[in-house]
Amino acid sequence: MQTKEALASTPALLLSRLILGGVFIVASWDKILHPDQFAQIVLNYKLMPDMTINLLAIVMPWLELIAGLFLVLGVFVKESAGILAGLLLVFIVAISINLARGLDFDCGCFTSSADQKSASYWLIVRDLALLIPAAHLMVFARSRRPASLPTAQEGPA
Amino acid sequence: MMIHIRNTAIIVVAALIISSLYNGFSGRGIPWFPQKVEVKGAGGIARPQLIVTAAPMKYIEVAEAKVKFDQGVAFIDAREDHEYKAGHVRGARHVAAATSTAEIETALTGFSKDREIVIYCDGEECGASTTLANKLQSLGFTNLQIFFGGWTQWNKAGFPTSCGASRDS
Repeated sequence: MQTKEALASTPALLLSRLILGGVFIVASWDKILHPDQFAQIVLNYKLMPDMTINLLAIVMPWLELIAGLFLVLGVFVKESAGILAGLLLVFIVAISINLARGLDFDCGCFTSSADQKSASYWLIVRDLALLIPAAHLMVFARSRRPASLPTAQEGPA
Repeated sequence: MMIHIRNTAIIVVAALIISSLYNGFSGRGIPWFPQKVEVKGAGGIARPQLIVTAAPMKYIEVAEAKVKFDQGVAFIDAREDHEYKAGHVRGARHVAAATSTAEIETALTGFSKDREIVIYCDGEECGASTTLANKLQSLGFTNLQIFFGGWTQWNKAGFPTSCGASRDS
């Protein structure tokens, strides 16, 4: 099947890796530099239990950066794409909930300032669009066994 | 589609370790858990306010804000442009919370870092003043106070206001 071959081709996979990885590397950077401001944004979303806000603000930007770097470097591609897809789903749900309840909030995606009135619909569309390269990589990227496991029957992805 | 749980775990654990180290040693870290601070709101009613940063801000209520106002302390309005234009504490500068730190520095040229500043936004539930205060803190400003109650309380109390664009915005 030609489409399948094209999707599984190295250039197609590379494109998805660079798009998804690049976006998350850029998005993580400002949050890493300003965890206090990012924590305030998480707080402004009013979705997370109080005690988890700072933990999330500390760990999540690094998860984005590491998974993004792995994608660009081509390491653990499926798993990194899976983690970022999970984050995208969380963002989509969080933005949708606040959109539905009309809460004034900011996405906190590329910036760490809490009060830019961003167009929430556009953010949801963008996050949905980013799910495409993520799904592409999860399905078609070549899987690697963890180093310590024997390279047993690995079927074609 | 074969996603290895072990590989996923490696990424997550790496993020946990690196973020912990960064948070502990980079100097940009925040506490692992937010602290609840009792803040006196309108009518002296104490409300718990969640503080996510290391250095909790000083909060003042409307009566104290008026005292500061009379003393000539600088006020900064952290709300959106259109809100500021519709009415603000008389003489308050406008620095929207979304302003980048570079632009804030330009906007506050001539302000010494230990100058007393009162920051306010709409009211008790708004995060704009806290967000702006965090940015000012990261720029090295040390004498910040958040006027809890903000524009709503000030306006209600009938204290001096003005409207229109700011010379500083």
